[in-house]
Amino acid sequence: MDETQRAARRVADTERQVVEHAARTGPVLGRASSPDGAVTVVAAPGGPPQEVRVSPSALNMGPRALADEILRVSARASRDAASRLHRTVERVADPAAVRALAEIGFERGPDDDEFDGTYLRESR
Amino acid sequence: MTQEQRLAAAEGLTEVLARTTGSAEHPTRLARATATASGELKALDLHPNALAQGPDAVGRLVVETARLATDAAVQKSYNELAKSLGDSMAMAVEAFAGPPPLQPAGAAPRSQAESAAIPRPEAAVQPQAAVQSQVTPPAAHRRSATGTPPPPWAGQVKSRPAPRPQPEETDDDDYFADPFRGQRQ
Repeated sequence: MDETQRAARRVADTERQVVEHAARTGPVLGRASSPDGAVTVVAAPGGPPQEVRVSPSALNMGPRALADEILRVSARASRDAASRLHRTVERVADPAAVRALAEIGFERGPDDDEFDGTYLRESR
Repeated sequence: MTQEQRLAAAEGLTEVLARTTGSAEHPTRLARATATASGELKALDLHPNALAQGPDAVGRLVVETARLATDAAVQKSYNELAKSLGDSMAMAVEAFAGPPPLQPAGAAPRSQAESAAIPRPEAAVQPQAAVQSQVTPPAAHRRSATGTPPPPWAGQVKSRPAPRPQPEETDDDDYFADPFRGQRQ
């Protein structure tokens, strides 16, 4: 078996592990909301926003401010999606695959789950 | 292209994908967006009239416009890829990554807007195809909302725009047999 075949087999194995894991846990999605709940965005890793929810009161912000808020929140949703993808792949794949994720632009990011019980967050 | 050049071009691919952005305007002209090929929104403009459509419609409008902009960026990335790797390599990438979302070259922005504005016929019979445009055809929603029975043609959608007239001589064999055929009086 030459180097290419070994690499292809490792890619296939990693893919199978990640797919099996994702089938158990559901699709990897990132989510973010504005502090006042005006805008909520759901995004898949490496894709445009899948869902944008705007609260009725957010319409009072006017088009420019609302568009800017959607931009901010969707950027956070994308980062959250990338982080979650990392955590998903970390559980099943080898460290090289996880490093490769970062190389193609999916940053690990801090664990900013609101429910993980620590107030000691690193500053941003 | 040597193996080293290909490797170097592939190294640059990630950068190309991150750097290349595409822009699109929603068919309703109520929103414009710029996005990277990986779906990251870089700019967003909402028309003041968009907000009058209600919060749900604004959300859908943004989702659809972001998708159009991302498609445009992916298309541009393919074009960049073809430049750096050569057409044959770009075709090989398309073979496993899927076809580029837009038609090549000149007709791209217009046809892109049309394809989003006009739901494809199969979407009418498969309501689960949720990615189809949901903001643009409000008439169908309103009809069902008023409670009156929809007319028999309610499920129909406008047909695709008439195909661009093709030149009569599309057969390469005919052309090469007599390249000046069409120009003779």
